Amino acid sequence: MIKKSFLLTAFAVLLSCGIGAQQKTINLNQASPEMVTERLRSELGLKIFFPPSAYSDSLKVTLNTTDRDFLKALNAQLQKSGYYADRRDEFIFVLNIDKGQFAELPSDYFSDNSDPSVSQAATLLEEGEKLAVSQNKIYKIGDANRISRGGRAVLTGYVKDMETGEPLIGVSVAADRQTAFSVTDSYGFYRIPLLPGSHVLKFKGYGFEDTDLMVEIMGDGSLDVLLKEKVYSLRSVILSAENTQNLRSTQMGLERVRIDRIKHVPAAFGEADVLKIVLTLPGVKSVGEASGGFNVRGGATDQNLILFNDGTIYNPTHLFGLFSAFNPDIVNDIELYKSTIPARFGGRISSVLEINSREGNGKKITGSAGIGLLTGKFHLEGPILKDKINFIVGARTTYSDWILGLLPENSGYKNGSASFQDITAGASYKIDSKNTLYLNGYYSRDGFRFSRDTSFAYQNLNASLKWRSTMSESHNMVITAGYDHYNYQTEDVGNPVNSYAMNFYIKQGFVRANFNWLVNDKHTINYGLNSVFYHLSPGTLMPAGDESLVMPKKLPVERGTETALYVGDTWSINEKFSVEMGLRYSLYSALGSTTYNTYFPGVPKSELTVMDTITVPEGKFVKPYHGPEFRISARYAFNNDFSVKAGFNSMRQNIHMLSNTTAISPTDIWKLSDANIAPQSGWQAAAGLYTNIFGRRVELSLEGYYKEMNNYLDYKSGAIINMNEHIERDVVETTGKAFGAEIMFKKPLGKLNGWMAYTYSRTMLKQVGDLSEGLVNRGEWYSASYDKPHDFKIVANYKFTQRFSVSLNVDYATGRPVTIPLSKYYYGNGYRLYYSDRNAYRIPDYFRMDFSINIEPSHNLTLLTHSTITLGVYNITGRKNAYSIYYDTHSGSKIQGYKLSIFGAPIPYITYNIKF
Amino acid sequence: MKFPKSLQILLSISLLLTGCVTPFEPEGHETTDNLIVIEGDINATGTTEVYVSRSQKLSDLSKRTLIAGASVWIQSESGTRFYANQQVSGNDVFYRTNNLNLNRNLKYKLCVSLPGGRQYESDLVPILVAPPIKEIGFTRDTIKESITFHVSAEDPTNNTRYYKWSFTEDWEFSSHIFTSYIYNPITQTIDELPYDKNIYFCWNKGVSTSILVASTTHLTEDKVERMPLVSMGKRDERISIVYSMELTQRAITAEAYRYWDNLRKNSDKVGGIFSPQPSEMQGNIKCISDPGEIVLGYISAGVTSSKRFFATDSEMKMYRNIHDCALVEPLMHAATAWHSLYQSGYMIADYDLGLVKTYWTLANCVDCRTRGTKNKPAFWPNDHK
Repeated sequence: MIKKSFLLTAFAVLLSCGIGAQQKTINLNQASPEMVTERLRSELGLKIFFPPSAYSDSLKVTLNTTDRDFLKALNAQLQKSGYYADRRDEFIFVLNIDKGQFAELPSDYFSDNSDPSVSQAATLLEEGEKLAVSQNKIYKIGDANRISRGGRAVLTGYVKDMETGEPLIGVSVAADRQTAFSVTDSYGFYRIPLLPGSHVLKFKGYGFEDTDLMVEIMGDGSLDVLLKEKVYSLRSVILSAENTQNLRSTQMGLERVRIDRIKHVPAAFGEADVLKIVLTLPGVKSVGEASGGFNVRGGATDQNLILFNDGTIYNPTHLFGLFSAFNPDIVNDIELYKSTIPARFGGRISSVLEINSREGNGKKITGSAGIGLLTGKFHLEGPILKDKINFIVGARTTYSDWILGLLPENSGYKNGSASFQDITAGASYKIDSKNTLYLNGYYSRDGFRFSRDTSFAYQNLNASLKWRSTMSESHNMVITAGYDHYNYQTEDVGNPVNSYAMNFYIKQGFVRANFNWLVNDKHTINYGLNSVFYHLSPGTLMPAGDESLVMPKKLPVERGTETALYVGDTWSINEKFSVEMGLRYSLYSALGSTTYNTYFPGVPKSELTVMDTITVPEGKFVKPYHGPEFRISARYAFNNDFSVKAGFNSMRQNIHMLSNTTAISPTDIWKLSDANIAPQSGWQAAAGLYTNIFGRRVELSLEGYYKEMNNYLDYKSGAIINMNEHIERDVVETTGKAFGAEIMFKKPLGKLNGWMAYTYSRTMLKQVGDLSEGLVNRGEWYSASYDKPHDFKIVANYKFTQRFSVSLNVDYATGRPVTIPLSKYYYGNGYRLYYSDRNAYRIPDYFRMDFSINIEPSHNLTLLTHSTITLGVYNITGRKNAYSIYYDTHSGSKIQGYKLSIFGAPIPYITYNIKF
Repeated sequence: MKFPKSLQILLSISLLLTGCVTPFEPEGHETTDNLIVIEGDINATGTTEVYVSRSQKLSDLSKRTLIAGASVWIQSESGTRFYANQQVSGNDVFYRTNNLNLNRNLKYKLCVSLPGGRQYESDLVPILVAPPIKEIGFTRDTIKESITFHVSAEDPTNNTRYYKWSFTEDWEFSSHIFTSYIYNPITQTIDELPYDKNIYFCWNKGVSTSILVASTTHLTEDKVERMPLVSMGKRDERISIVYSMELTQRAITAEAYRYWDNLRKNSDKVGGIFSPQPSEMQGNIKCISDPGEIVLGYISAGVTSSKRFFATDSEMKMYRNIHDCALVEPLMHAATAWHSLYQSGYMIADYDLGLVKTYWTLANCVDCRTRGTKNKPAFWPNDHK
């Protein structure tokens, strides 16, 4: 022990030579760690770090020495109490001398070696991967002889959960003295450029203990970090990764919500809902309850790219939009990009919603089971081969049929049934420290039967294989290939002669390659390629039964290919100013073989204006569309608590959803752009202010945006959407504009946590074309059906104790626009309605409040199972919010206005979940 | 999964309460009237009746405002005009042509000139000949306890493809209680009512109010199978004794079908979660004096076919005579008591001459004339009076 400390002292002296030419003296008498810290800072300009035990042990230091001999004298003192000190530049680290702490240190650490870095580097390289858990240790990184890139070294690694070994996403990594800052990606991977020398790295993750690690950087290296879940939410720990990121990242309009937050938000029937949480974020709206889609900053529902583990989800809901189709036990977090969309995403013009599932517990097999009023669910996760192969699998099913069984005999739904299932499975295989393979699969199915005669079903199927490789310390790569499938079918066998079955499907195969290259501490370049091949069957109508006279009809299959190349650079100009620039160039074309009509220009497309019919052979381009997309954003941080950002985005979209209903209807069809239907395009300019207030407890953000959309398809009056082979004649091209301002107060941590957001926004559409065509609203601007100017939301949770918390949701919005009649007239022996301007009237304002109580009776870590109970009431005020306002003519006999409410009463619920 | 009983009940109640439809009057919604509405399909063989009216505000409860004094004619593409004369029937004003036999190879349009001088005309439309009606029938739904009348049609030449129907209906019904007596308020006596003056059997009539169109373009044969026309519940008086329907079938063009189908969707299929949003489709009538003026209506031309159909209660077996006609017995056997009952809307149901007692009930329980007339249609199949 004595020998070791002597060597350490020698080593420290050696290092300190470079610093102090002047001699200073320092006197300490029975100084506490706090006092030592203060004196060293003020008198010698040194920073000293004591381990927590030094404070609890009431360590006292008495010495009288010069700064040159300070470390030696300090060590002589500390040894008595079981500590030693080490010095790196102006830092002094005081560490515990005990076996556990030194177990990982190389055996020759304290050997008689005048140049310790050489031998250590060798040892570390042999060791390969390092795992950091201790805050009291100095982790030495890299080979001092191989420092590259102008003296900068790159530290990479994974941040994982100490309990489960799962990667942690969105953990911020910051070096205390430098501008260097990084956030772990969706694999928990971080990469940070550092100057050689000693640093204190701060790791901050939402819901995890803040961790400071002491590192000594000599060259490129890797360090994996385990973070411990925060067991108690302390008031003092306020600063979280989320607010640091908001201020420091150039990203604007990014909302990230972790699943534990989602699980505490009250939802209808108590089903923790991944998509409903999206609706509580500022700038996100829906046309009403029980509607599957959502509108982001004035975009249409089909302009959102919904990615679940890289798979594109075309119908993300169950039971016609009552629930989202993602199992909350599998989901890790969601990320919604509503403004700055990184260049690697494309294909939709409004937003990107990424839903990431967990990788699964890497340490042991665990699982959960839950019972709600409508669904039962189960999930299992764990290692197959420890540290190599993990899996996670979950399934949900409904037993909601009993609800329909409770309906009265004459309701017409007595013989109805509704069911859904979803299965999510994932596996990861760690080939070596640099390569990992991920396999993801997802299946969801919904089936309905409204009566004996009509039924409806839809399915989603997604599978993908992903290879992630760290090519070098500064370069990594993700290649994903996958297959997405969505289909639905309706069947009506009520009338034997007219019995039919109708099918729609869309299939797509995709390949995505994404590269990240940390050029130096100022530039990070992201580049790659996306390629999608679409295969879409707009409809197949088949007779059902022997008596049916329905003519079999199959609309020609649509094929298309979309390829995009992109490059983006995150440029940190200095500590305060950073810019992210992205350019994406996409090429799309519908593919043959196909036959299409051309129409005389300048007149409405109809049977009468067909000019020519053109046949395109197999595999040939029908009509290529291509163009650049720009993604630019910049941040200027005035200080740690205040920054401004601005950005500009342009996007293209080659697939359209055609609908003449307000909500996303299960029979809406998707249509690829072709010779007659041009891709949608749009751009958005946005700016925002971000600040921390109330002692950094509350984040305040204010964002404004202006957006334009082109070639958005609305329907013509009397349009026929299904089984229409000339759909281009029934749709109209519109341009849209949207603008708004969003203000959000967010308190991520503490007993009271949650957010409060207010949005003012407008979305207007205008039909393009000549007035003589009979334009919608005479070609004037009209409100989109999701134009709800005022919108106010509160999501709050109050933790009384760790076992008991309450949650409250408040949602207020202006009523959405609807088309209601202007006049009535008597025609064909009955009263008929004359509708004029589209969306000229608004339904009454929407208000809803939900409340839930979350109880976790057992919190003992030694228990085999843990259960949680959630009791809640959805729509606690019982307000009969209007979903729609409409007039019924009662088959022409009388005219009456009606209000339809989906949830016109408070809905109590209870769910029980068990974890094992 | 088994839930506690109370929870199950609570949930089922809340679910039943939740999805709900309530009458609603939008506030601050300006509605308009005064749009010109022109109705009158051109009948190639026979007379054509044309109604010219104005649209009304939604809150307007009055009957339609018909326009008198207009000049109305049918004009062929070669320019021949067939004028219609103004007719008055009760409060209704309409225009009727003479019995015409139009050339089926020509196209025709309907022209209207209003007293103010504004001119309206329809597009030229072809004369389409409807095939004969194949069958009218009904189906019973014992679960919903309703009866649905339907039509089947076909065109062996596969030319019709788009069909439109309308019907007039007549039905015989009875009051709930047969009475052989009637109170005479003038003499204040109870008189015997001879059977041939009974107020038990009555007749009433109506017209189809729904828009009834069908298309067979998606079928291999030009066949309409059991297209529902009208549904009636078990307490609907129309199916109590004898129901009769005279159905008129028209062949229409594809454009006319789209117009009527859109009007039907706007009228009947709105408001649901996945209902299409209402949208207005321009008809084929224009104002020549002011091309920007909106004119409502769609004019077709053709030769119709029609068929009459009867169904009796013994065939339909659906009607349930459920009523709450209680008998009231006045304390006094005196004209004063009778008269006050009469003035309260009661009629005598029975007279027990032996016990000297009268039994009274509300007028609609004994007097079928409260809901119909004694005018039995000439074509009625039974011998009720």
